[in-house]
Amino acid sequence: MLPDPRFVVAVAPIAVLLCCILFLGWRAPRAAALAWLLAVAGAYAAYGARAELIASACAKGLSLALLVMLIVWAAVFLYNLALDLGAVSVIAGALVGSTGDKLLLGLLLAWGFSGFMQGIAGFGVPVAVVAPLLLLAGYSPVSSVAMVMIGHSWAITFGSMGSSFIALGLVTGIDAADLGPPLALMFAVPIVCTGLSVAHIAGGWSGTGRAAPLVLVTSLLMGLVMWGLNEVGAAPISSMLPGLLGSLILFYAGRGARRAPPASGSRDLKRDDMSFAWAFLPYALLVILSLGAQAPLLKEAADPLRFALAFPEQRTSLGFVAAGQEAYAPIRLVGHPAPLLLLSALLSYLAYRSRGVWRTGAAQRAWVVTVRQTTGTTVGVSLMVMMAIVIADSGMAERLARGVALLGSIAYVLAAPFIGLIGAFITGSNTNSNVLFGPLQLFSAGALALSPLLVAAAQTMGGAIGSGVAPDKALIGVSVVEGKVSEGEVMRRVLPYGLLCVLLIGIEVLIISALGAP
Amino acid sequence: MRPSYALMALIVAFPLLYVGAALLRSETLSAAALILVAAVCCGLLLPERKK
Repeated sequence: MLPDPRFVVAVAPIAVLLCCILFLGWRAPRAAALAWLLAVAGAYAAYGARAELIASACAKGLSLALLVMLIVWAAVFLYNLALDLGAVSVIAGALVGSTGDKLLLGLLLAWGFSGFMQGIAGFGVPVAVVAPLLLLAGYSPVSSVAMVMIGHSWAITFGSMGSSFIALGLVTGIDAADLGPPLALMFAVPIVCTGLSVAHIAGGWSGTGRAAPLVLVTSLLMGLVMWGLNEVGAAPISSMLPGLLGSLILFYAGRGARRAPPASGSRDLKRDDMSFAWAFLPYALLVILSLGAQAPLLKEAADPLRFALAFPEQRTSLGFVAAGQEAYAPIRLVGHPAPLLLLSALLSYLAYRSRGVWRTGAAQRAWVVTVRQTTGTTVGVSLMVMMAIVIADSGMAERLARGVALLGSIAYVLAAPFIGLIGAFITGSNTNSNVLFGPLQLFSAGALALSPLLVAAAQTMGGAIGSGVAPDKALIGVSVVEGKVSEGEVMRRVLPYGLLCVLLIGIEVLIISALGAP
Repeated sequence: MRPSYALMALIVAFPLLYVGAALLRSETLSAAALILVAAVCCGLLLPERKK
């Protein structure tokens, strides 16, 4: 029996995107460009979408991309500023010299500190910063890269100041206040899994056994903080603070062990005129400002200070209706992470300048590096988001979901996190995966009468692990350990851990679904 | 096409798409804006010229 031609048209943009990245080795912007062209042609020719509907979907996509990319640009700028000022080196140097227990140091750097870094910057920054530190700590190049790849993945959904989580809420229409707390509780499983994975890579089964009690207790506390922050609406710092807490617990747990002598090259990490507290200032300010921005009075007073576009209802000639939006993807002056990040940068500038540790031209250099790092990502994300909204608004996602729903509810619940993983694995981003597959997962949940919250959580948890173990992270890791290992070796080492974590997430989702999810 | 040029073209396309589709609801302006984005995509599909 021949498949429905409309189903094939709906599958084509996503399938082509996957094939171009996975098999042809294309970069994301190029593959997204071809996928966008296919989606637009399919929507116009097979789904009866007029130019007005497609243009409206693309404008929605660009306003959504603007909201997400503002966070990314500001987060990467603050990181580059701290890097230029030597603050990142001071923080990293203090961590490397903190303990002589190699296993605990591995957990501290690859699981706790990398999660904290992901909370702030993301986009491969934790791999770029932590893999060389693990090498200094005495791990092999392949273990160093693999440990940090799997170790930071628990922090990706709420990382980069919550950009992936915010994108998921936008494309699925699920309120962050409804999704955040249960999602944070469910993240207990990936937090434990990634911690134990790091311990296994670092010390084999004996290391896993020795680290397991500490990993379990630390995971519990990190999960509780993640949940508490989501309860008070502070999702953008729900990776940063648990990562910081995990780092502190592991730091103090390892203090009893005799300190290792400074490894060769670690002198480069020092900046003599800056203490750890001063180095940490930009991120401490960010935490304080993020918590302060949650004050109800401030939020209420600043609510009108926002940018959002209105979109009218659109209808295809086949009768599919894309609902009108009064304020699509609003960017709030108080509440959006970008202004907080820039305010942290400004306050840090004033503090560093008054102390005399500011380096002339640091902001300019940080900006130049940020533009270089994020321009390609911005184009790729913009085209991918436009394609995803065209697929959703033209009725293609609904057709896809009806096809996927034929799997049956039990198989679908197990497959949902793997769909998230595939999306993130090929695009290198949990945000892209959520945008690409979030609407599809929601339609499928509707068709199978599954909880939308549960399926959305499965999507982004799978996406988080997929993004952590994606080939682009391996590429970054290999480049920062100076090519002492091949990308293929790293992928072969880390993929089994990623797949096992996602399988356990699927089982967790299946159990919650069987118990009657909200 | 360099990603920086593609980004600049998308920044120009954004208001055109919005005005054409949401404010004026004009098929012609919407189509013109879509052609601009399609041109960007075609540019990205071409191999980047080596310096």
